Amino acid sequence: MAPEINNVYWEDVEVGQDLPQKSRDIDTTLIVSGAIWASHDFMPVHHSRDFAQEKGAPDIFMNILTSNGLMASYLEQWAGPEAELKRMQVGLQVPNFPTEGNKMDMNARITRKYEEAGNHLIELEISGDNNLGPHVVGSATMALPAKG
Amino acid sequence: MGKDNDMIKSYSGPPEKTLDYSKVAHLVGQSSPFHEPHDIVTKSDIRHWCEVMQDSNPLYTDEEYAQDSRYGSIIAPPSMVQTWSLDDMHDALQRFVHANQPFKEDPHNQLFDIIDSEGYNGVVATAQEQWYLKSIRPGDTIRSKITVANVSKYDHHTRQGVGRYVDIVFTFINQRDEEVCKASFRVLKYKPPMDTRHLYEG
Repeated sequence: MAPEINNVYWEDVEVGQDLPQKSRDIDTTLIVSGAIWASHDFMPVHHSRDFAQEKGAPDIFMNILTSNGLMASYLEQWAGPEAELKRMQVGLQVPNFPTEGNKMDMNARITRKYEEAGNHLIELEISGDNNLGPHVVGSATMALPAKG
Repeated sequence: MGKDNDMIKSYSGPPEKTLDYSKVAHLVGQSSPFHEPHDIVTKSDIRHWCEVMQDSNPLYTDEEYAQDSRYGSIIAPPSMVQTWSLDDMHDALQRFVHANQPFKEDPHNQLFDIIDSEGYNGVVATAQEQWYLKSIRPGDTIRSKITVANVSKYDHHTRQGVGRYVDIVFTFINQRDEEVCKASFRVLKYKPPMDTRHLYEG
């Protein structure tokens, strides 16, 4: 059965509103499949523990495309298929390592709501935090469907 | 006092070498040609991505829903855009393991070679911004070029060490030359901190 489709409408959101938090476990499988299977990134620091340690890292760590994809998905899953991600900016801070029990908590807050060229837009502050601190901190712009 | 000065002197090496900006200035503003991808966009690429991201957006994987949508067919998640322009396994291992990178003549690769040779051989990505301009669909050919947008003129003292920020811009176009995404990317090229372990040996 197809999952229930939920759309968030522009009229129903307000500045200052927090999106519900979502968390993903950060383990070796997610890091390796994110790099190779999802984003075709064969840089060995994202799949070879030996290579990563030789380069001075304690372990393999998540590639940027996967971090970006997780954050984009978090926003799009909340907004529903009628919404459109227009822009996303991420500042990269501590890496996502597959340490025991590590997870990334994803959060977002609506910071602006406006209309432009027929689009009903919102801007959000976004963040993904792991057991070491902030992994990504940034912002995004989305177009939401309007009730009309 | 004189003795102290002698001690300090005995530990001071040659002055720290720093990158002369004029060595890289000619590359700022320069772009690579558009490079062809190894593969076209496919539904399976998209499904693999959605599986990892746990993304159940029906526009990406549900044919029936997508056909009735404003797009008329399945589209790719916009943040997936760079997937089709990365090195394949062979080129990636050549680049990262054997230091034999493809597209040596591209301005950004020339720039990184110069900066590396000046001792700034550490690298860390610090920020990325992407503007999604047009949807990507199965069957599309996504080509990309890289432009060197900016290089810091002077050294920055960062947590990683002394370094220079390099800003590059990616332009992604499809087979109809329509721009699908523009992205800016900032990396810090830094001098790995001096290895001081030998000072404590013996």
